[in-house]
Amino acid sequence: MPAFTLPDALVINLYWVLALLCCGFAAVAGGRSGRIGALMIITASVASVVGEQFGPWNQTHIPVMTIDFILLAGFYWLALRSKSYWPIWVTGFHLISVFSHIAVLFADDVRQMLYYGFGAFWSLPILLAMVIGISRDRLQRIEPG
Amino acid sequence: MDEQKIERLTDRQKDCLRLVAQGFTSKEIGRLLDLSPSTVDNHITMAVQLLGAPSRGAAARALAGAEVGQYLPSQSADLADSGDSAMNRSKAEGKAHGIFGQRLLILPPVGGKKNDLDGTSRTLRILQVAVLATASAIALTILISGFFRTLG
Repeated sequence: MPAFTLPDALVINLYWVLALLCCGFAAVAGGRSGRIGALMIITASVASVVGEQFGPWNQTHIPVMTIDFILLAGFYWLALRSKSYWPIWVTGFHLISVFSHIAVLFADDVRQMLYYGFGAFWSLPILLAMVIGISRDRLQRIEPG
Repeated sequence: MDEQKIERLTDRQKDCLRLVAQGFTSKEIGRLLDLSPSTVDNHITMAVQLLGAPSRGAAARALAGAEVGQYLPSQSADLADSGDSAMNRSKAEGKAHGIFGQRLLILPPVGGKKNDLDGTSRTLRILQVAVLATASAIALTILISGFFRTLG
C-alpha cells in the first residue's frame, strides 16, 4: 500500500505559514517572552534554510547542528527567566531535536529522511506549546513576562 | 481567627501554611511545591499579615483549625515553631520523598499559571518534558509502524 506523501515544497510552505502565524501571535500577545521566542524561532528557521544547503544529511549536519545548539541555548535562557511555563516545554522539545544530531554522531548508517524528519518534527510541538501557553496565560490574565 | 481572613488566603498561601503545620522548613516546602525558598517565605509572610497572626506557626494552626472546623488552643512559641523533633523530621522526610516522587510524574503546566520556579526546578522540568516527549514519540512510532505492517 503506497504511503500518502505531500510534495516537499507544499510541506515547507505549510510550515512557514504556520510558523509565521504562531510567531506573529506570540509577538503580539506573549509579552517580552513571546517576542523573544518568536524572534529566535524565525531567525533559526531562516538560518537553517541557508545552512541546509551546506553538507549532506547522511552524517551529522554541522551547520544545522550549530544553529540548533545556539537556539537551544537561547530557549534555555528564556526558560530560566520567563514568568511563563511555555518556554520550559519549548526548550524540552528542542532538546530532543538536538539529541538527534548527537545520536547521528555515533551512528554508522544514517537514513537521511529519518534524521531530517526527526529533527524537523519537533518544530510543530514547539510552535503549538508556545501558542497554547500564551493563550492559557491570557485566559487566566497572567501578566506576560 | 476570623473565617473571612482565612478565605482571603490564596491557594498557594494555604499550601505553604499546611506544610508549615507539618513541620517543614521553607527550603523543604520550596522543594515540595517547586518554589524557591524566598518565594515560600513571601507567601508565608503575606499569609501571616493577612491573618494578623504573631508567627507562621500561629498562622498555620489557625488555618488547620479553620479547616477541621474547630479553634485550636495556642501553644508556646518554642513548641509550635521548632518543628525540629525527631518524629517531625522523619515524618517530614517520608512525606517529602513520597510527594517528590509524585511530582516527577506530574508535567508542568503549559500556561495559565505564573512561573515562580527556581532555576534548578526549571531545568528539571525541561528534562522531564524531553524524556516524556521522547518516550511518547517512540511509542507512537511503534504503534503506527505496527498498524501499517498489519494493513500491508
